[in-house]
Amino acid sequence: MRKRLPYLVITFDTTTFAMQMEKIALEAGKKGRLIPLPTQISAGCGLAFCVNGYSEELKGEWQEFCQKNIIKYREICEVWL
Amino acid sequence: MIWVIYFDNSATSYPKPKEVIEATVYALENYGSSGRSFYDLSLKSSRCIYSVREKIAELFHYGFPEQVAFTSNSTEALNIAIKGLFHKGEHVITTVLEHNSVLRPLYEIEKNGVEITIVSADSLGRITPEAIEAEIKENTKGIVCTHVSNLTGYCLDIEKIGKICQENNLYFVLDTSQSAGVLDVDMEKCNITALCFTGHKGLYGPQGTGGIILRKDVPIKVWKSGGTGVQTFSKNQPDSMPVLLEAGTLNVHGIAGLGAGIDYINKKGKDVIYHNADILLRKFYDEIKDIPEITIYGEYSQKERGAVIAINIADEPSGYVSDYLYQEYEICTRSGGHCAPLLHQHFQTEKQGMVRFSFSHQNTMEEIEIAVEALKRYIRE
Repeated sequence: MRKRLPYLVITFDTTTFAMQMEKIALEAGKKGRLIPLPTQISAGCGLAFCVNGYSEELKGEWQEFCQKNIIKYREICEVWL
Repeated sequence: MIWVIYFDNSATSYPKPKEVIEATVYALENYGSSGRSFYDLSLKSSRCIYSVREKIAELFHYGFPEQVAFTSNSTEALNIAIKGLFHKGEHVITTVLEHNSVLRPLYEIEKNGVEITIVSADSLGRITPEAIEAEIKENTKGIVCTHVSNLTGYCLDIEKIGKICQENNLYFVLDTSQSAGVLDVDMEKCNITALCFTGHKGLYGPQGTGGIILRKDVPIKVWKSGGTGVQTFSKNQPDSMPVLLEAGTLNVHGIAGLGAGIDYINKKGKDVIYHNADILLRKFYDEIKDIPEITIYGEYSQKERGAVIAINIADEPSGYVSDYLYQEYEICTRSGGHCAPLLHQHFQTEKQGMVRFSFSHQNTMEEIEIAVEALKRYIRE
């Protein structure tokens, strides 16, 4: 099977918030992309925002970014994708 | 047009035929508000909408175009039918194959005192008309079901179910989201009370189009009221179809595109559209069915079915597989839950989801071969 790598994944309650995240992050020059909501976070469907790599420092950066830009997210976590 | 390998036709058909795009643009440039005035811009709009009602009625073999009411999709049509036809104390039968567009309105009316029975499937996701019939009780008022499962492509025998409804004096509400434009649906032969369709899948129209064909003289609750262009001084919504269910300005631009989509189907031939997609489905199925890591849900001996196949690779999350297919090969599929929660529970894939490939006649054998190779490479790596 395909090898997995760690990613920082931000989840949302609705697709609208995921789209808002993508727009604001990309406008701010941040790197990331939308992916299918990983099922180990939540069953069902939807979108999550995914950033390469994971560290507590990186998580802090994104928490701060979301707070600063008033982005309503559900969770920021490490996922091996 | 964006180049991708598009296997998500169960979500929406892509690409749309150029005739659909042209008709939509033409309407944007040339049509006014339908049913509101006498000048050409307005009349052109009204004529267009009427002609599409006729096309829809003809497509589903119903002789009364005025019984076709436009909605924004089949979800809206199903809500109108389910909430408008059944009342407290009555019993409704449905199946585990259903999409949330059927289940959620049913759960809503259940809270208001309508009794619901959900018929289960066998291990391959099949349901016989007899299994549905066995659930009929004294207070049963109707059967609400899909024609084709959006997950497995399994096709219910709607002619038999319609006959059961006729024999037992029941309403038959049919969700044709996955079959309209691909399989023949005969409102009369199947004794359908309310046929709900969406415009943007097999009918090749724009998103935001759909409708309900309501059998003549069936009483239904008004779901919205407002401007209709007729009976301005009445306090009530006019009680004749289609305005009974069509308050507010219609989406003529979308409906014009939908009409062109139906013309496209008629020109191409429904049988040709069906068989071209079916050949691709069978080829894909044959190529992957013996790969031990792949689980295919449903059964594929059924002669007439939707061109849909849902799979998983071992215990890999479906989203990973779908994302890989797109990132590496630009193959568009859908992963996760598919708004069909009961069927996921049935196959025990609530957590893993499924990767769904849904084909159309516009796909090619070469695309199928690329997808098969992509799945094999995912497993190899």
